[in-house]
Amino acid sequence: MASMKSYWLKYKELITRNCTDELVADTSLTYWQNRLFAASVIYLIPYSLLSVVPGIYMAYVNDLKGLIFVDFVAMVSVLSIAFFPKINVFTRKLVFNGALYIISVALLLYLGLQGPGLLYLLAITIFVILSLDKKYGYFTLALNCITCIGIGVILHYEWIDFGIFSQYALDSWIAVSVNLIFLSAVAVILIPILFHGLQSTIIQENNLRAEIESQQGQLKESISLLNSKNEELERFAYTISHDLKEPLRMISSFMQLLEKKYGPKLDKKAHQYIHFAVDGAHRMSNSIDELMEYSRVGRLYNEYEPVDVNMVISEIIRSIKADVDNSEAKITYSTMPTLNVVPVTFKMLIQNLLTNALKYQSDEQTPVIEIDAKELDTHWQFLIKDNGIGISKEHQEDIFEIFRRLHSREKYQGTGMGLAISKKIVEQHGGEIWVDSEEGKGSIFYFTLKK
Amino acid sequence: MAKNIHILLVEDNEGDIVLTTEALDEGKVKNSISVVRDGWEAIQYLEQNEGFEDAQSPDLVLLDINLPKMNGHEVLKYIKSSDDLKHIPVIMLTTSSDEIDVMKSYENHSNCYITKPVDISNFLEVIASIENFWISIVQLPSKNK
Repeated sequence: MASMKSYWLKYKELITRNCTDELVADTSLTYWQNRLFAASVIYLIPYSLLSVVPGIYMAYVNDLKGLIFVDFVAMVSVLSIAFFPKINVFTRKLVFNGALYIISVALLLYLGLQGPGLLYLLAITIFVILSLDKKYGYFTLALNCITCIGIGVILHYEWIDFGIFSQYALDSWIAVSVNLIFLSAVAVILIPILFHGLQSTIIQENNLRAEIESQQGQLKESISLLNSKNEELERFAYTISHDLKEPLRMISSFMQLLEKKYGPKLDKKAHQYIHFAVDGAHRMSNSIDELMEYSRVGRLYNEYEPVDVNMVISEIIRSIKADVDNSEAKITYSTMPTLNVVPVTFKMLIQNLLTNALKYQSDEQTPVIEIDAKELDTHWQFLIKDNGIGISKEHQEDIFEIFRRLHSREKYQGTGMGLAISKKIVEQHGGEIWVDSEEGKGSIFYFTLKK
Repeated sequence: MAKNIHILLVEDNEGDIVLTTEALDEGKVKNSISVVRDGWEAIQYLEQNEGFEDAQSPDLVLLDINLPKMNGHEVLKYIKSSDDLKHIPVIMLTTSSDEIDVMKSYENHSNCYITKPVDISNFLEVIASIENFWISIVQLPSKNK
């Protein structure tokens, strides 16, 4: 059994190789026409071996030597196109269909309407359309007409005496053969339309796929470009921060060293100048740090993890304990959810808002700060409410811009980057940030995070 | 116990060289400082190659990261993968507070990482702490085995 199967597979492989063209793409119609042709040859050979023996026997019994000859010739043709290498596929198809055509004409001539001749003609017409181009379908249709008319002429003039054939009158031949022509014509016209539709679908699909592939290629290119730009930016940020801070540190260090070593020799004004220089250097250094942080949000810090917000808040409160104790602030928060966020930046966000709430307070009153979160359809909404100095309506939008400050440094320290960084963090998490406030009556900062 | 501690300072910034050496000079412990100004020179010094034949093997290395020719990370890697040098404590003393620099230094077995404070008094304090901890408190391996 196993060896039978392997012979069968080898046989199929050989014929498929002979009867198809490797160069034709598997998306074209020709490819499938070739495959169909190969499959037909594969299954026709064993079948014809089985049918040729009784066929030849019947022909021998009825003394139809011509039919035996035609059977033999057709058999040899089919075997040659199946097994001979180095013939092109188109020629194989022509020989194949030609051999079948000869058989059917012979069957018609010898067996007349009793034999399968007309059925063969119809079958060949369909097979030609399936395996070859549309124009060969019309060619076969024309051939069918000629054959039918030719036989009619033979019948009419009784040129040849075929015995069985002569039993039929011309009118019954016409009646039957007209049907053949009609069916052939239907097949020749309709099947190519179907094929044309199929082919255009295949072509469309191919184009679509090619387009998607090219778009994916472009996307990959853009991503790699973006990555390299990011790396460049990261190197740039590193260099900037180092190269700017190094000289700043020199300025401030030597100013201070000057003060330390030569202090007694300097007058009050000189001390004040030194103070301004040192203070300026410090502030610039802080600004550079903050700017670095700002540039890192969403670029360096971008991995999401589940974070227990309760833990984050309690950690922050612990880290600013000195300020909380000093101002005797009351900070309360409801039970918070665990959210999927970027841990570093999320903590930065809460810390910024909480320290702001603590910082922007008038001296007379005790800060009361409240943190709350509620779940919306697509987002979580947080609020941080304080009883501080508040923000006038006209500034409620621009406080989120970089280096934006509303107060003098003497009154409230800071670089003016905190809320800009906070806004960028919220946007990184697919949310929004805004403030609801009235001057002198405290502020409520809201922000949302996408679930 | 009159131990004389020898420190190698790898630093390209003249200002920092002045600040660091002055701070160390003010310290209580008697020490000597050698200064090299780039990464490549640091390795020549440690290996006592040409030009540094008489170099004294240091007890402690203060290493900046941003250096010409070879950066601090490369020098650190070199020291910590050399059988003759890896016992020497290396203190990264740098302007950078970059997470990546910190991580990379500890991964390469730096003994500690210090960001240079901007404030002079903090800076002097830090140098004094380095001196106190690494020279007075810590037991260093005796050199030239």
